[in-house]
Amino acid sequence: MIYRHLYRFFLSCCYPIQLSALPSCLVFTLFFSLSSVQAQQPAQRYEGRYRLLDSVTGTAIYDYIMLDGDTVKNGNFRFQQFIEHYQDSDTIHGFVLDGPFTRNVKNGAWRFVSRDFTVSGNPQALDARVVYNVTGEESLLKTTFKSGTVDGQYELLDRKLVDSDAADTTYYAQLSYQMGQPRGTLRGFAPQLQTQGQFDEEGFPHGDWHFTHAQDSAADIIEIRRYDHGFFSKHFYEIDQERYEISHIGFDTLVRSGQGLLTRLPVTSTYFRALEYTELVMDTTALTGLFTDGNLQILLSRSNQFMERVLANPASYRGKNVWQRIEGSKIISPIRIKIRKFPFSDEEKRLNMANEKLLRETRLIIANFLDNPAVQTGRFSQLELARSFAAFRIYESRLTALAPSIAFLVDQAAEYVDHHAILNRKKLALRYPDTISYEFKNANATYSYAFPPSLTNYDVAAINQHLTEVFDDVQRVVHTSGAFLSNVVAQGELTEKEERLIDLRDSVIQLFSEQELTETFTKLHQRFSEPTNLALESTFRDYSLLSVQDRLLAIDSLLSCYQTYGGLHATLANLQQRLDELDAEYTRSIWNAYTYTYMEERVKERLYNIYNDQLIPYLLTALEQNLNCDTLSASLSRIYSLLDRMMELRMEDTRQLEHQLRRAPKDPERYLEIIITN
Amino acid sequence: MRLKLSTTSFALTLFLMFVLTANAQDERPTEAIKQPLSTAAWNGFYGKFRISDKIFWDAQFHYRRVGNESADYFGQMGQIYNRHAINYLVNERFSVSLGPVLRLNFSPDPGNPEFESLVLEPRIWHEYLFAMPLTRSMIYHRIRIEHRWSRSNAVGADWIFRNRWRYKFYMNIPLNNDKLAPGTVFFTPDVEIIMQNGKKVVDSPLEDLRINPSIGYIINPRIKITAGMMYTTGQTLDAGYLYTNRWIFRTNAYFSLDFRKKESRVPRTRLFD
Repeated sequence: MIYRHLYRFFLSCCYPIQLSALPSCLVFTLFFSLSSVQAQQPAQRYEGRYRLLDSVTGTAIYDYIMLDGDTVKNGNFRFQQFIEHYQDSDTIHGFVLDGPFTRNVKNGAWRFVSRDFTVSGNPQALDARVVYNVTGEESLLKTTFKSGTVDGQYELLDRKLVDSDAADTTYYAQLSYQMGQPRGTLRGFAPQLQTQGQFDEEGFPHGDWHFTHAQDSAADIIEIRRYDHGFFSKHFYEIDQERYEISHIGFDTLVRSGQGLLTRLPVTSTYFRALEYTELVMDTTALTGLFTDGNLQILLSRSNQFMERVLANPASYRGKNVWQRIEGSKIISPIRIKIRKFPFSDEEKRLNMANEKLLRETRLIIANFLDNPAVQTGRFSQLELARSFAAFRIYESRLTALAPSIAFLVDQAAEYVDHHAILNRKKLALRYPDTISYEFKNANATYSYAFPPSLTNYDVAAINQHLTEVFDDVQRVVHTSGAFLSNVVAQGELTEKEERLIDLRDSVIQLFSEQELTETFTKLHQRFSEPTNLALESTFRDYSLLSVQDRLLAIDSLLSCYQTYGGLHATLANLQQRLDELDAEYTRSIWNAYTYTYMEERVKERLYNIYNDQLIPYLLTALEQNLNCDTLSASLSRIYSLLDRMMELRMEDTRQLEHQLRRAPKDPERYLEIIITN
Repeated sequence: MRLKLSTTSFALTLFLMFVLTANAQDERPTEAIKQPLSTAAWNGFYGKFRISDKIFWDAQFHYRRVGNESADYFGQMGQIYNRHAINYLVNERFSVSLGPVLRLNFSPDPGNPEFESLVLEPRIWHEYLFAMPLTRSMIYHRIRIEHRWSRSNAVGADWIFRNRWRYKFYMNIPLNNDKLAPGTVFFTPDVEIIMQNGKKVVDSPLEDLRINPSIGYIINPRIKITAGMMYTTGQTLDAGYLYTNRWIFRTNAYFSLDFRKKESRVPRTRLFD
């Protein structure tokens, strides 16, 4: 910056040509040039592989200077990750992060662009190139940093492309930041929605925020949310210039003295969830046919979704803060609002958590009991089971009714609404009959069952007591039914599962033995046919020697194992295909201008040769020699990790990696480590 | 074959040519006369450098020596030959070229004051090359037209202008492979006929007939090399009945390089603009 001022000074003295001043200008210029040369380190440029802070790797080009033996980014930076899946699905996805640094600090206009494209249409010849159109989605975040702090216009954009043309903008928001705080006006739009609102000096939403909802066949509906320096104080809908106020039952929209201080809360999804818990009250009688409670809720949700994206996650893309993927800037915080909090006491929190757990476990036990085939069949012949089954059905319906309220009470959002007011509007009436009706031996009967007392209010301690009683009763019933059920289960499950096991074993052996006749037969199938058969026969023989109880314990894992062997056949076919694909990927076709023919050449020869000549044989041998249920998945996973990595490396600069491979000892594990972890 | 061409015999031959030419109008021989057999060695470096999808820079350089009484083939400098052109690839079976040539002709009798030690010969040339696949081989038809301004090395010789009309047929036949690929040894049958016209071309339209079989090897997609013995014969300019008679040992290296930037199937401007 100081150089810029000095330069202006130079211009100011030299531009109006004054011969008397010229010598001093020249002396000044000479001095300035020399000092500039001394002060400025020579800029260098890096081009190659780069790993972001979140470990995503790609390629980067950036300028840097050397200071104290360390690289300091100074100048433009551009990172891109680019992955193609032509062979599988003709898709291509990647992202770019670029902008300038000043001595490792973000300074200037920065941009993040993410694109997910699928190749569409037919290839078009353009000169000697083949060009495809693409269809897909594009997301953009753009802003300006000043000394690492966001300062300037901020834009978020999501749009769809069809045949390489922008087809539909699904989200757009534009706001301004001043030294990390939002300022001025936010504007944006989404399908059927336009938004505009203001921030105050402290970065809180302030004034009337307009959400214009376009209606397909009626006049636009303007939703107005009035913020008083971050506090949501009024909510209107405006239709044909008439305003209709909406009350949120349970949400304090009045600043009232003596009601406790307002909490300053960073906007998160919790805030919007709290809004949606509130019950909306609006007089819609004047708007019959135009406005119903249902579409009121839809419009509210649409506005909330728009606001949540820009207020809660201004720097986020798919859950990651895009600016923090590389150092040099302060975190862009969510925008804050003010809200009245209705906190739970510690005891209430403890009981709410306990109630949620009790409810969850009780419902799980009941569901398992009711779904148990032995219960389903045994209840017609066993009196106790018939009665328990009927009682559990009643418990199930009551607990289902209670569940939303319990979920609400354990949600953090419940503290941002008047939870008592909200729950009290929903009358609770968990009542139980004195007798239950059930079917037994083709006849209907009744039985007096000792259910817990009714639950008629949302007092958390009362809920806890009620749920405890239900849980105890359910446990008691399951315990007394246990002996009968275990016998039924053991016999039934074993017979059925052993039939499946034998079918599965035979089908896998069949797959490997008849491969020669099928089109998908590969050398890998032939190679693994015998080891697979041996492994299947051996494990089945071992299983057959077990007792009934031990077989019951072992059969699930053996079934899973045989399914894995079944998958091995398909996996080997796919593996051969992947090997062929990589062969093609690492082959380059070159035009020879003398023979007038294309000639093929191996690309990244050292890397490919190590992969092809050493690593693949090594991993296949390891797979073949350790073909058992415990290691099969892991061994296949290693091969696929290598293939995936090789596919990535095809598009990357591998000079450094190949250099490492050349210097590494001839050890496949070491090669794998270099290739996969590099 | 041991061939020696002394300075004396060379001068005698020239003398005979002049005499015979002078007498031609009156005493034309009843049969064609072959010049004594001569030898040469041509070493060629051929480069085609791709500078755009369709355009190549064609750069050729020849280092040619001729035999003399001290050594066959390599005895003394013959010519240095620079040929350049812009080559336009119309499609993968046809290309055209246009460019200049500058040939440096060294004295046939170094040290003889009657000859200039070096004479320049400029040309403009254009070429039309057709390539045709035939099973595993390739067949080529090459039509090359040259417009040349030349003079002999004799002191005070006049410039003359001639056009050359060249047609060449050659093939690349892989011997140890089923296609032309790196590691392939190939055989190249090669025949070229060169006709000429111009004011000074009275009775010698057939300037040269070249029969040039060679063996080649493809080192990689960008480099191939060949070596062969070429026999040539043709009418001399001043006496149509007098035929040249040469064996030429030829070695050539061919470089096909691509100077374009790497490109992707989907242009990156679409994805990362």
